Amino acid sequence: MKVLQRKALKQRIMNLAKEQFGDLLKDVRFSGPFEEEDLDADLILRERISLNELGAKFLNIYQPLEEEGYNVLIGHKFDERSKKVKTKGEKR
Amino acid sequence: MDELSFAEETIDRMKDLYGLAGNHAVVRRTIISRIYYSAHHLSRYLLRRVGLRPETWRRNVHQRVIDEIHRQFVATNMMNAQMIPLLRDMRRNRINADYQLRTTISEGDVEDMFDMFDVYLNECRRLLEVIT
Repeated sequence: MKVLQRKALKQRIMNLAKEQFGDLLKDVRFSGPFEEEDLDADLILRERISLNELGAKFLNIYQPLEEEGYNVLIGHKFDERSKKVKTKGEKR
Repeated sequence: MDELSFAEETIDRMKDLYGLAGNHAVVRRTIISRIYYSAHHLSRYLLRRVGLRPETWRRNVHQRVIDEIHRQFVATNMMNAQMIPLLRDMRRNRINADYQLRTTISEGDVEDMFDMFDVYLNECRRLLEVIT
């Protein structure tokens, strides 16, 4: 994927994520591709929501991207820093 | 052992492993990867039940398995459409765990993977009652 196309795809994902998650969306982190996808994105969400709600919103992000010919992998992470600063016994 | 039994057994063992050593980042990465592959094998099991032969596929197998799950079961209204982003989310987490070593993999990430797998397993069990 060309640099300009990649930049446009990132912006498209960012816009769709904002549309779906609104204030719940804290950040979008892009990476990859690592396998056959065009791009990877992790949506960082401020609060935990149900998998049902998450799935419905993800569907609304995937549908236009697929129609535009993109093959993207999107994951989620709940921002839990406010709840848990350090895990006891954490090993890295 | 078929893929369904393999997936169920793997998840049980991964829950044991998480209880024993889930405080170690390498173990969390391993567990996430094994949970994803359990879901992947479960998908292949469903596809074989409708006559497909994923074991003969050679390219883009992970993407193709998810695409075929969509074509065979979601597009025919047999499976909840939300299973597709859920499978992709699990795959994304597996890629994160396998490739992105500078990214923190938290206990919450592992627990989310277990939750997503449970949702998918329940949907697969429901579907299997219909297609068998």
